This record gives sequence, structure tokens and C-alpha cells, in this order.
Amino acid sequence: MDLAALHALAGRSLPGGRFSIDADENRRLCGILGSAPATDGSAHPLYAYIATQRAMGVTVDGLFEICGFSMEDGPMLASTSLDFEGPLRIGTTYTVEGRIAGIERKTGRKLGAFDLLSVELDLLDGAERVAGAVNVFVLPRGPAS
Amino acid sequence: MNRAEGNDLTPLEIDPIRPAAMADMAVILADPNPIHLDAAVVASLGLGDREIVQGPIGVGFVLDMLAGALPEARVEKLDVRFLANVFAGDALIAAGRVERVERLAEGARLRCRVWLDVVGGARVVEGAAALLV
Repeated sequence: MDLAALHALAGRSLPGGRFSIDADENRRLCGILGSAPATDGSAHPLYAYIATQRAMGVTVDGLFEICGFSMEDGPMLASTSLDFEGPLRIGTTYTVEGRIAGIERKTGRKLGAFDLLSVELDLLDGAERVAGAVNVFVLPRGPAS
Repeated sequence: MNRAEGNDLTPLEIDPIRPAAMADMAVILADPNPIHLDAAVVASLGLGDREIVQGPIGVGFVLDMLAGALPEARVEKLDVRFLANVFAGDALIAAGRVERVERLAEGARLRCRVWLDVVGGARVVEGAAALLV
């Protein structure tokens, strides 16, 4: 995939989907993090990341395939921005909408050529946006030319 | 008090991260990236000799640190950058500082600097958080 084709992906909508936070899975997540699950029906706030990634309408490896990149080549998360209008609730069925915000080619001493893929994801309860995530991934493209 | 300007947030100490926890997290994230599951893949990519911990786990530790340090507050926004990899078996410490307190019509917004360090090692995550109290 050439650079022009990659740049043309900017603004492309992802299919999106629906996601309901499961109480048992929330407990598992809290167990991984070593924290206690909330007792008020709210989910761990990391679900702003998890729910939007799970229900963006393509798999994580499928997202990278859109960009001509294989999961086997070691993509990495460079940054994430999460925002919240309020707590996320166990059992609420949320809608996820998303888009590829952009892809930028860079060169570094360690990675050689790499792309920075930016993805914007929104979590909605009905028509109301309740949280969002902007994730930037590093896609190594091999030695610098 | 944690919530005054210039005050450090109570740090959160995190036990060494086990590969089994990372495998479970891969399922929760629906992210099969082999660098989190197979040390041989990590080595083949020249990234190290242990499984690389998923970045969102580090974000979860920072969120838990904020919840513990400021239990009366609600996170409005969290921006973090990943500076270096965390590897299976690393122990971590999440911490932060209140940089600014903005008075609002109701309550206040705390602007904090946050970070995550490998115990005895490098800073691996840094960023900023805004919380409403």
C-alpha cells in the first residue's frame, strides 16, 4: 500500500457496533489490575478503551489490515486519550462509532520507517455520547530507506 | 490532602505482572497481538526477551491510582503516552501530582500530571488527567 493510499484512509468510518459491559468480565478485568470492582453498578473506566475497541466493527488485526499492516509485524500503542461524561454502567448496551483519523509516515533511528495510525472512537448511550477514545498506534514498516 | 495544588497523589504499587494475566487481558481486549503472548515473537522482533504488557493495562493502573488517591473525584479526561515497553514480571508504581486547581461554578477541576514507572527502571507512561470534584 503506497503512502497516497494510506493518506486516503483518513476520515474513513469504521462499521461500529454495540457493546454491553458484562459483570463477570468487569470482575476479571479488576482482578487483572488488582483492584476491587465497584459495588454501585459502574464498570471500570478502562472500558472506555475496551468497549470502543471491541465494538468498532473491525477486529484489531482487521484494522491494521485496512492499513496494509500485519499483526505479526508488531504494532504498538503509542498514546491513548480517554474522556468521560460520566461513569460507565454494567449491563447498559452502548453504541460505538469510529473512524480512522489519519496516518502519518515517520522515520526513527530504532524503528526505521513507521506509520502513526490515529483512530477516534465514541461510546454512546442512545444519542448521548458518554465516553471516547483516541488511540495512536505505531506500525513499523521496516528499515529506513 | 491530595487535591491541593502541588500535592503528590498517593502512589499505587503494582505487583509483577504475570503472563497469565496478560493472556486474559488479550481476550478482554480482543487483541491477539503475539508480542503480548509469546516471548519468542518479542525476541524475533528485537524488542526484548519477555512478553510485552498491553499498554491499556498501564492505563488501567493509572486510572486505579487516580481512583485511590482522589476517591471523591471523577475522571473527565486522561491523556497518556507510552514511552517504553513494560515486560512480564515487571513491578510498577503509578503516581501523579496536582498541577492546577480550577474553580468551577460547582466544584473544581483538578489538572494532574500522571506517570507509571517500572520499579527500579524507566518511566513507561506519562500524561495528564483532568478530574472533577
